[in-house]
Amino acid sequence: MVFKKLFKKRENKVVVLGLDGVPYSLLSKFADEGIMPNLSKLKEQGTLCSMTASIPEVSSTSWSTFMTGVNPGRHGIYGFMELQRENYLWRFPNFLDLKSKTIWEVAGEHDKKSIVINIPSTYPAKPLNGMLVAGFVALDLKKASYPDSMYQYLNNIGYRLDVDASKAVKFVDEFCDDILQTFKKRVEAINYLYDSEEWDIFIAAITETDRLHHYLWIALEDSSHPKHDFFINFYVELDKFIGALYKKVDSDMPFIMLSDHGFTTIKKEVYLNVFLHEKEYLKFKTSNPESFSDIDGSSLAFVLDPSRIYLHMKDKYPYGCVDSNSYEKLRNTLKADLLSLSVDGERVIKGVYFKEDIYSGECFSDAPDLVVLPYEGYDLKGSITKNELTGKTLLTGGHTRENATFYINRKINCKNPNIIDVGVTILRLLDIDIYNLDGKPLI
Amino acid sequence: MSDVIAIVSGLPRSGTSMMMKMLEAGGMEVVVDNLREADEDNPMGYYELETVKQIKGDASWLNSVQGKVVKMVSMLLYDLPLHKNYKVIFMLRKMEEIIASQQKMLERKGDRNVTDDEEMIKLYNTHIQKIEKWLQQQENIEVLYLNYKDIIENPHKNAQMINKFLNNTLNVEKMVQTVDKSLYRQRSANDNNPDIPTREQDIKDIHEIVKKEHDQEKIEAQLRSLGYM
Repeated sequence: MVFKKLFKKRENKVVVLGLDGVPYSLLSKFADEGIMPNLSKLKEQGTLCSMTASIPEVSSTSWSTFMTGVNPGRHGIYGFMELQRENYLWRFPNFLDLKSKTIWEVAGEHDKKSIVINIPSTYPAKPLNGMLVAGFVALDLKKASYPDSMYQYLNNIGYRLDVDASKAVKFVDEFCDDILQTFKKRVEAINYLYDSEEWDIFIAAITETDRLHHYLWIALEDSSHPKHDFFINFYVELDKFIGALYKKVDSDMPFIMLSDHGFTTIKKEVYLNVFLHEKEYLKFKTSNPESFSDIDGSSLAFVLDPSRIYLHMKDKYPYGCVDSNSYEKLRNTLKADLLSLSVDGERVIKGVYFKEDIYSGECFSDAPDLVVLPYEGYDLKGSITKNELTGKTLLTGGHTRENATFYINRKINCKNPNIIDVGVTILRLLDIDIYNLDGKPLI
Repeated sequence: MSDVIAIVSGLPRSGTSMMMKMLEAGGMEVVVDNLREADEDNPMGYYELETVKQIKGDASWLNSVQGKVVKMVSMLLYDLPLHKNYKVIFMLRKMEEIIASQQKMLERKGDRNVTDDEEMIKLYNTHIQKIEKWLQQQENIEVLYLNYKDIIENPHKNAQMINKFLNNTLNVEKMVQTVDKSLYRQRSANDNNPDIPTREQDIKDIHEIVKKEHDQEKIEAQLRSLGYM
C-alpha cells in the first residue's frame, strides 16, 4: 500500500542509469564538494546509498545479477571466462549463455517495451519487445544491436561500443580522448532514443567510468597527476549528463542509478595461481605454462579470474585427480591456507566462501568450489604466466564488492541493498510482481 | 599401433583426401561412411565420416576406430577426448592455393564466401598457428606435418616418412603409386586444385568456425586490456 502512494500508478515507466564501477563514496564526495551539483540536488530529494555487488565482483556477473534478479547459481554467469572441462580451453560466456530471463524479457511478457543501451553481458543482442545495443564484451555493432533500425541509427552516428583500453598502456592522451568521444556518442544515443522511441523501461549504462578507473584511479587521488583534472572534468561532464537526463524524467517517474561494483586503489595485484603453485595445489607440465592446456594431472586446484577456485575433480576434468571423498578435506585445507596468505605482513584474504554459501539453482554444478574476497587494495588475479606472488601493472584501480552505488529519486529506507534487489525493484515499480526471484524489492 | 587412432587433418582443400587415399593404398583401414558416392568431381570418393562432426557431443565412435585412420578437419582436433592417444598427419598447403581452391569450389556451386580473401588467409594462418601450438602441448597426440606440394614432387620420400610415423606397417610403393603427377598437372590447368573437392557447406562451416576463433582472440585481448587473464 505504501508503494502505491509513492508513485502514480498510471505512469508505470522507469528510467535506470548504470554507472559502471562508480563507488557510492566517490559520488557522495563529489556531490558534497560541488563537483556534481546535479547529483547533489538528486541526493537531496532522493536516496543515495552504498550497495553490495555480486560475488565475484566482476561486471559480467554483477550486471547479469542485476538484469535477472537471481544469483549466479541460477543465471549461470560466474565470470568473464570459463574453462571448457573436456579440453581446458577457454570459453567466454555471452548473453546466449544467460540461463534466466532478464527484467526486460519479463516486462515484455507484460506488454512493456524496453530500451536497453550498453548493459554489459548482453552481447550478442537477442530479440526483445523494444530495442537493445549490447555492452562489454561486444565485438560487432550489427550483432550487438536489435532490431536492425537500432544498428542503422547507431552506425550512422558513429556510435562506439567501447573504449579501447589497450591505448592506456602506451598512449594515455589517446585513451583519454577515446573515453570522451565514446562517452559523447553514448550520450547522443541515449538522448536520441529516450526522446524518439516509445518505451516503458529505459535502461542505459555508462561504462567509460570503469575504463577510466582501471587505469587512472591514481589520478583521482593524486592532485599532481597529469590526468587529475581530466578525471575531475569527466565527472563534471557526467554530472551534466545526469542533470540533463533527469530533466527529461517526469516528476513522478522512478529514476534509478546503480553501479555494478565499487573501485579502490590497488596496493598490489596478487596472483592466486602462483600461491596455489607455491603450496603445491597447482602444477604444470612446463615451467612456463602458457595456457591451462599445460596443467599437470596432479594439480588439485586452479583459479580463474578474479578469485574463483575450482577443484580438479576426477569426474569433471580429463586430467582431474581429486575424487569426491577428498573434496571436503581439500577445500577446508585450501580455505585455511588462503586465509593465512599475507603480503608484507598484511593479510590479503578477507573471506573464503564455499559454493553452497553463496550460490543455489540450476547452474550450481558449474559454480566455482570456492570464491575468495580480498581486503581492500589487493587485486586478486588468475593469471598463470606470472612467476611472483604479487606485482603491479599500469592498472591503478581495482574492483570492490562493497561501496557500489544505488540511487532512487525518492526517500526510502535503504538498508543493505544488494545488486540482486534492483531488478526486482524495477519490476515492482512497473506493477509486475515476480515471486520466484532471489532479490527483494527495495521499495 | 593397434590402440592408436590415426587422423588425417588440415584445412579443407589442403590434401587431406589425397592423404587418405595414400594410406588406404598403403594398407590402412580408412573409416568412412560412403554417404557421398564417387562422382565426376571426385571419382575416387570423399573419404569422409559424418559422425566426426558430432565429436563434441558424442565421441563414442572413437572406440571403433582404434588402429584405423579417419579424416578430421583441423578445427575439430580441439574436441578430441584427452584420454586417448592419436597420431595426426597434418596437411599443410600454401594458403593462397587453399583459399583460391575453396573460392572456385564455392563459385562452381553458385556461391561465394563473403569474407575478403586476404582476411580469410589471415584468419586461417592464425588458426594454423594456434592449432600447431595447441598440438605441441598435447602429450597424447603425435603430429607429422606434411606439405602437399612436397608430396606431389617427392612422393617416395614422404611415403617413407608416413610409414615410419605409423610404425612401418604400410606398403610404401603402393602409397607412391597413388600420387599421379600427370593427373594432378591436368587438373591444375583446370582449377588450380588437384585435390579432391570438399562440400561447399563444409567450407562455409569452417569459415564460420575460424571467424569465431578470431572473435575469441578479440575477446581475450579486450579482457587482457582490463587486467584479466
